[in-house]
Amino acid sequence: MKNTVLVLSRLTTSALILLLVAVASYWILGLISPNYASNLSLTQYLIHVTSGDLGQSQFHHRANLQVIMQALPATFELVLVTSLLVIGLVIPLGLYTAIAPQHRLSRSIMAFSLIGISLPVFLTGSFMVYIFAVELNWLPTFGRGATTVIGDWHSGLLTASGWQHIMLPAATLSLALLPMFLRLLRAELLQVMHSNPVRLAQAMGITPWRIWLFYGLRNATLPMITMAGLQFGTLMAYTLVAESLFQWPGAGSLFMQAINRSDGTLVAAYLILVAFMFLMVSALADLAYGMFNPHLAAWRSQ
Amino acid sequence: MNATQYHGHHIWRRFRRQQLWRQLKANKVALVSSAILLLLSLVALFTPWLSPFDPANLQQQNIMDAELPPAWQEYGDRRFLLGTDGLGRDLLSSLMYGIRTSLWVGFWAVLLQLTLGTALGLCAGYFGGWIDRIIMRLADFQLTFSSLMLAILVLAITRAAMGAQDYHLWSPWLLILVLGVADWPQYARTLRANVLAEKHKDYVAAAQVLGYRSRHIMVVQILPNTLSPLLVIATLQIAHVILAEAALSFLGIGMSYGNPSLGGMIGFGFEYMLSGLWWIALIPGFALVLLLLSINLVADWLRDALDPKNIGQRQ
Repeated sequence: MKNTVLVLSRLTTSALILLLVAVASYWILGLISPNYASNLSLTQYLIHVTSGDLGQSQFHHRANLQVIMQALPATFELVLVTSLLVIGLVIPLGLYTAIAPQHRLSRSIMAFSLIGISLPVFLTGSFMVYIFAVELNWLPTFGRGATTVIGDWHSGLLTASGWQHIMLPAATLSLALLPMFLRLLRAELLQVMHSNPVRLAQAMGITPWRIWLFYGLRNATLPMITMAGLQFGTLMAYTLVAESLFQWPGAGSLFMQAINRSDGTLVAAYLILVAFMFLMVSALADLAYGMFNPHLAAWRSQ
Repeated sequence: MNATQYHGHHIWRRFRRQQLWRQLKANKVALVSSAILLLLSLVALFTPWLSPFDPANLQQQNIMDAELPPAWQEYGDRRFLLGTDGLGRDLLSSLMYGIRTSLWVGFWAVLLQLTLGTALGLCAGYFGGWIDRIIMRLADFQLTFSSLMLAILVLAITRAAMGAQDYHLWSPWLLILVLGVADWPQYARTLRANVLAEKHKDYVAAAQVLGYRSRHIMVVQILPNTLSPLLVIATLQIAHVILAEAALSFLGIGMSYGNPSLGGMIGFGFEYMLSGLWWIALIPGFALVLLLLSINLVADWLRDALDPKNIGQRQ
C-alpha cells in the first residue's frame, strides 16, 4: 500500500516536471523560431508532445525524434565505454590506495587525483590529442570511424576503426570522472575497514582478500551508486563538451549544432528528451539503491 | 550581546590572533599555492599596466607576426615572450587578460552565489516547515541537474535567441548571472545544517526573548557563527566557476572572441594544435591548471585550518 502511494506520488511529480519543461520549451521555441511558434498554440504544442510528436527539424527536414534517436547510439556507446573504463580502473586503484594508504605509489595516485579534479575535461582532451594524435600520430581525433548497422542502431564497437576513434574521447571522459569516484571509493573503503563487522570477520580468520572484496567493495557500492545518480547532470555536461571537442556525432554535438543553426524545434525537442532521461535515471538510481541497501530490503520483506 | 564572544572558532578572531598565518607557514604546499594565487591575482589586478600589448587594440596587431613560437624556441621573437596566436596577438598579454577575466567572473559569480545561498539557507534552517521543504527540494533538484549543464542549456539558448552579435555584448554579465544563480545549493545545505544546530542554543533563545526580529537574529546572531564552512565552500566555488566559465567559453557560448578568456583561447588554439602549433592552446591550458590547482589547494588547507576539530593544535 505504502509502495503504491510512493510510486503514484513519484509519477505525479515526474509528470508535472515534464509538463513544466514542455511549457518552457514552447517558450524557448518562440524565442528562437518566432515564425514557427506563432503558427502553433501552446495547447496544440502540448497535445503534440504528449502524443509523442516532437515536431519537424527545420534544418534536417525530418522528425526531431528520429534525428535525435539517430544520434543517441553514438552518445550511448561513448558513455558505455567510459563507464567500463572508470569501473575497471576505479576498483583496483581504490582497493590499492585503501590497502596501502602510506605507500609512495598510492600517495602519488591520490596526488594525481587532486590534479585531475582541477583539470577541465576539454583540457585533458587537448593534452591527449596533442600527445597521441599530433606527436605520436597513433589515434584519430574526430568522428566515429566506420560503423555497422544493426536494425536502427549504428554501432561503432564492431570495427577496428570504431574502437580507434572511441579511444581518445572515452579516455578523456574517464580521466575527468575517475578522481571523483576514486576519492569516494577510497574514503568508503577506509571507513568500512574499521567497522565492527569487518573486525569480526578478521577475528574469525577470513582471508584479507575475501574481506576486501566481499565486505569492503560491497559496502562501498551504495555510496557509489548515489554519487553516480547525483552526478548525472555533470556527466551529461562533460559528455557534451567531449563530444564537441572530438566532433563525436552524438546528441550533445547535435544540440550545439542546432543552437548554431537556430533550429528551434530541435532545441525544444532535445530539452524535453533531456528532462525525460533525467527523470528516468533518477528513478533507476533509486531502484538500484533499493536493491543494494540492506535496510530497505529488510523494510520491503516486512 | 555579541554572539561572537561565545565562540572561540570565530573566523575574524582567529585572523586577529594570527593562528591562521602560523598554520599557513607550517604547511609548505598551502604556502606555495597561496603565493602563486596571490601573484596571479596581482597580475590580474594590474593587467592593463603590466601587459606588453593590448589584445583589443587592432593597431598593435600584425598578421606578419602570426603563429610565432615562444621566445626560447627556434624562430621565436624576443618581443613575444610566449609566442603569438593565429592573428599575431601576443600570447602573454592575452593570457594576462584571460586570467583577469577568469578571476573577475569567479569573484562576482561567487559573491552572487554566496548571497543567494546564505539567504535561502538561513531561511530554510531558521523558519523550517514548508519553507524549508520547498527550498531543500529545489536545492536537491538543482544539485542533481548540475550547474554546468544548466549554464550550457541557458546560455546556448540565449545565444540562439539573441544572435551571436548581441549575445557577445552581454555574455560577461550573463555568465556571472547564470553561474551565480545556478550554484547556490551547496551553501544553502551547509548553512541550513549549521543553523539547525545553532538555533536551539541559549543565545538565540535569549535574543528571541528580548524581542529581536527574525531577520536580526538570523543575520547578526546566527550567521557569524557559521561563517567558516561558508568561506571554504566559497573558495572551492571560485575554482568551480572558473572551470565552468572556461568550459563555456571553449564551447563558444561564454566570453566572446574579442574578450580574452582562458577557455576561449584554448578553444581557438585547438585547431592550430592539430597542425603542431602547440603553444596557442597549451600555454593557456597550463595557466588554467595552475590557477585552478592553486585555488583548490588553498581551499583544502583552509578547510583543515578552520575545522573546529583542529582548533588549539599548534601545527
